[in-house]
Amino acid sequence: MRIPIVLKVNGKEHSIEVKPNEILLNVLRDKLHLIGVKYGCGIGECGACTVILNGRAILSCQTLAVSAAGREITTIEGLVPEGNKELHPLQEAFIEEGAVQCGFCTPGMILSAKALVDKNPDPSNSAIKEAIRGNLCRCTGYINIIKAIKTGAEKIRERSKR
Amino acid sequence: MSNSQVIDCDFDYYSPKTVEEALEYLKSEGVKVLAGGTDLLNDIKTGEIVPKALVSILGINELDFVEFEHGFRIGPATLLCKIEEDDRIKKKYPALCEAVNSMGGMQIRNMATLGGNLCTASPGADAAPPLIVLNAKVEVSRKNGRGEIERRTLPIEEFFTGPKKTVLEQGELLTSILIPEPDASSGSAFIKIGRVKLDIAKINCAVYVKGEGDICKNVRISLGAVAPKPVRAFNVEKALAGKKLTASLLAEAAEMVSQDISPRNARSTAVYKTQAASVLIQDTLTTAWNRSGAGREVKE
Amino acid sequence: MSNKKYHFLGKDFPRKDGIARVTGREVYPSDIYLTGMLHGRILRSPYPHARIKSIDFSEALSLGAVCLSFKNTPQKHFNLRQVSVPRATYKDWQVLTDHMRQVGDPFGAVAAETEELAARAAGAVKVEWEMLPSYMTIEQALAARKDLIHEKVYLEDREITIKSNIACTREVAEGDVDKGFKEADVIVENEFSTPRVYHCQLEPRSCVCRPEPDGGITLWPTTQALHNTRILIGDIFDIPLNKLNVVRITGGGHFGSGIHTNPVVLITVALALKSGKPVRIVQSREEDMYDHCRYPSRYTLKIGAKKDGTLVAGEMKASVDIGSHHIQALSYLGVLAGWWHSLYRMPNLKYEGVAVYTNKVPTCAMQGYGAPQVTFGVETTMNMLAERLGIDPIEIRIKNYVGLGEIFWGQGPTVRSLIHSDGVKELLHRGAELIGWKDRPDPKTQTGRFRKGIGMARGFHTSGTGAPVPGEVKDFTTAQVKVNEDGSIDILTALMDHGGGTLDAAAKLVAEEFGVPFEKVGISPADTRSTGYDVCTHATRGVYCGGGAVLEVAREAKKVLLEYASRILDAPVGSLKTKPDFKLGQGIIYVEGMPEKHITLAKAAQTAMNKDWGTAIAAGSIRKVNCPPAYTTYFVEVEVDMQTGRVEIKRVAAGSDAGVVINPTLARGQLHGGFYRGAGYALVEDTQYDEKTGNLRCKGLLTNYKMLGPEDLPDPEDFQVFFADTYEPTGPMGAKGIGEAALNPVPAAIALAIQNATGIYFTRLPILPETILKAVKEGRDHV
Repeated sequence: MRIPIVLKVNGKEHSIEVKPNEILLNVLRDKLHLIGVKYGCGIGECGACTVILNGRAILSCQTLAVSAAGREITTIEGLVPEGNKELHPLQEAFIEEGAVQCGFCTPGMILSAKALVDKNPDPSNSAIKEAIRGNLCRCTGYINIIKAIKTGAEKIRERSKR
Repeated sequence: MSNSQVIDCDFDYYSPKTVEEALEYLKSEGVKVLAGGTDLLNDIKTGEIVPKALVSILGINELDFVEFEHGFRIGPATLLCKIEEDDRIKKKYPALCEAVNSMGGMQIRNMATLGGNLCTASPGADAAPPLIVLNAKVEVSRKNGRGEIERRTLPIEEFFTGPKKTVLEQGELLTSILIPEPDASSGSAFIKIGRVKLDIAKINCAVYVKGEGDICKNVRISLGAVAPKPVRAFNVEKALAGKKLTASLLAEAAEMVSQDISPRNARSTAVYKTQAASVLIQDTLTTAWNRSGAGREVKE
Repeated sequence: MSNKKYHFLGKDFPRKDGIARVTGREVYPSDIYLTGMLHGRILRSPYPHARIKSIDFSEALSLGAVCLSFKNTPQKHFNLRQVSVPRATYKDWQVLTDHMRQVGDPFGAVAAETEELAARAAGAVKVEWEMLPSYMTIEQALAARKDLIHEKVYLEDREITIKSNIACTREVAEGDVDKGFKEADVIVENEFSTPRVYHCQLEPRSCVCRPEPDGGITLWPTTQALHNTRILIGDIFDIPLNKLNVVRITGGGHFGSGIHTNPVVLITVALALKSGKPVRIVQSREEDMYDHCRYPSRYTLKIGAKKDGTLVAGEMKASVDIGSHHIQALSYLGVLAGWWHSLYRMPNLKYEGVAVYTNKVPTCAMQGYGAPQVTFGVETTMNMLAERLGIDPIEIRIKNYVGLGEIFWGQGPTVRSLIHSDGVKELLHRGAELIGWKDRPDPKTQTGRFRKGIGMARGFHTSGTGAPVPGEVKDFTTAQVKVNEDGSIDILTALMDHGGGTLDAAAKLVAEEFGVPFEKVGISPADTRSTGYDVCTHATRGVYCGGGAVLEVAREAKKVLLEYASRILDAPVGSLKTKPDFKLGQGIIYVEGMPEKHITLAKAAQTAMNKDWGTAIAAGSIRKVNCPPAYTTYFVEVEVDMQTGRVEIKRVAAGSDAGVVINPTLARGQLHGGFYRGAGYALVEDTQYDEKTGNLRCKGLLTNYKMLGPEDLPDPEDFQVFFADTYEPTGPMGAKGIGEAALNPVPAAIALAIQNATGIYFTRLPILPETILKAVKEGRDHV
């Protein structure tokens, strides 16, 4: 069985054909060359494959590509509209607060953070911890990540005032 | 060794729009229901399940609802995150919300469904104990020989038949979860112990309790991951029912849980689970009791 | 820190690789896609100990896969870890063999156009097995007389016959232990053990290999050591090194799992050579968990002290379950003795270590390399001694610790150097104040269900493995520094940065030395063809040895530049100084006392070029002749639920003596991360086996390999990090290491906090709620 689908990723439509057993993570990487989506565990434990689907953070390793057809997908590559040279406030904050070490978890972590601050513009420590508990970071011990999400949220609030 | 990178078996895929259509697909052997996929795709990757076809039910509107009109009903395809975000559920059925919130990271709760958690029927399924103590019923549908949809309703306790086993037969689909209105001056709570905060349960517990003054009028206690399927702690309930609730009575009654459970050494030890079950019952019941009426607390 | 004013050191700048990493554009080995690339999949043993009678590839071949088995690969023996000198290197590995020594041992591989097809082809390979008895514990392995895990191995090139599965042994002795114990007023003896923890670096070990038209290959591996990878592969596959290029590429975490060349790298090379096409293998998480884990430990530790707390004698006997292969267990046995020796002065000391093969995952270095293992037992013993003698735990440590002016063993008994900087007392006193040490609870009088406890432990790690006299470990870094024609500077070195900011630190040192803005210093892409040898970024040597080498080379390049400037400014070299001019966004060279007489770096470099004088460039290989200890202390507050045995970490005060701190935010991040991994090590992490099948109980799935998450850790406000005010005179601008020291005392500090809450000393990690509750119910004070 081969199924033609349209994947809407970062505002662009891609008409491709997939088999039902193809996993969204692999399709994003292998066919659309979006390497910011990472394989970390393959079973939904590490969050490295996080993407935003219709406004909610989900795991692309546990999603069939065919199931994602027609829905809006945002990957880390699409966090800032193409051609926009500025970073997203969360991205800036991750660099400033030392929330990036090896960087492998970073794309998924930032997307989870974005899904959080979109709903909760001034999150507490515990709200942040809850939002990122599905994203494994083996380097940082999470402290600087929590700080970065707070700082990023603050930057977003500041910018919206302007 | 399994391979979590790819799925290397082929299967067909259907995404029906109606229950009727879904039931038709499900008649054939080897056809599996795909809801959130957070358990099923893992089982396919590890080779535990080799499906002929998957029927995605996430596009079926009849299965995705939360309604309070005729009692409280939840569609099995309701995402966990929607249950968590629903203030009405949070207020009336805190045990269910707490259980849902403890399940996985944000992404999992954005993908997984309530029905999926029940149908996977893991002995530690977090949604089971709260639904059991809340006296929930489930509606199961199938197509009969004449092509008509037949529905049966059964108490959720009877839905589970063993580890990863339910009453569902090939061709059947869970179509609704019904939860009765809780009594006035009742409260419910859910607590889980994992190896770390984010984990499948080492042991979990839900309690529903109705108080009359300081009398424990009606109490239901359910535990997960301590037996092949979620269980009621009948002996503990019996020791508490109709009595004045005190800390010492509660401690004494909770000890009787050892007669209600048959834990294995999964993610912990049987000895620990038995000891922790007693503590967990006391903690959960205390929280539920505090919620059952203003100013209620468990006295020494 | 010294009084010297730095422009860049000690200040935060956006890390140079930051933008790539937050935008998803950083490329890791698993992200490389090459034209015509095949995807490889490794064939692995389902049995813990077996021999292969026959393999049938016919079905896999009919699917169009390229198939490889032990029959197609070189049979040479080697050790994957190349940081030791040959005379101290045991060799028991082969690329592929028919002798399977653990579940997951590779015997072949397939490659195909897609990952899915490779997986199908791998599933279609049929094997006929001959079962051998498996040895899943040290006791089982030592009792074996035949069907050993290895029969013959090599030490350098000498054949060694293995007996009773003993991989190697090591003994260290100083003074007279019997006499020492006779002088002791108190003797404490216990057995300690620590688990096989999985690194769980977020990117599974991976490799891409491209065969080149000239018969050479290009490699993008997950590694901490570019040159060692090249040398090993050149040797095994007989490829001249000038045709073998290993490219530096960011790895998604290492923690020690890339000090040795990963087996996946060798297999990728073999597949690429066989197919003639580029091949990529990304291990699945399951495969990765069967690939490596931290060295465990089990040891008896006996320490004697006088009434006043002075230690007089110590004896340690360690046995190590190393798993199926040697990744330098000889060195590990040496460092177990070394870390112990360097924690506290012990005039009489005796150590015996034995490494035993078992049919389990091979063990390798992981952050701390034996130090957290030993520190756990030693620090626990120090508290027991203090309790018996009625001395404050901080006092007994101050009395005995190895510090300023004493000899430090940086990598086992053969790497020794003098200590020149020591912030231990400052760390202990400041940490004690921050946590409220004086008011810590008394375990004997605590009651109630939830009990608080405060624990403290200290430790260190070496900064590199340099010493005046070379030992068993190689240690030097090669670098090149050049001044570009616009006044910017390029650093070229094979040094690796695992995410901690090593290369940013090197760039800051160079910016400071030249007096140019930080953003003017660039880190060049590096590979083994364009760089000289660097041993490896391991042993907390990145900043001290690697950064130190870059700085020394920068000074040479600066000499050349100043010589050019002296001609231009018509002033003697000795009168010239440099400093950054932030308005110009440039470095300037000026005559001291005559600030109007100056020139920008750009102008100097351009003039030198236009006049055909040359480029201001230098290169060199630098070895450090010291290995200063980077000290750390941890004070931790926990709360223990006496009814469920659960432990909650409430507060942390982490102190580090890293000399002059170069990247402050990143340095604090090292302590956060070290604490997190150390706390998981103390409380939950472990790889357990089903002894019947030889499988990991978790089957390589993260669902059942638990690590702490953000909700298991304290809030940022409750995690304080502070640095000792020290200056390391042998270090680059006063700096020493930090990385591994950030973890080493953590398990001990947590165990002692639990002791402070419960009154029970725990001697086995991880300390699970099950263990705590059992000990509480049994009324134990020691388990």
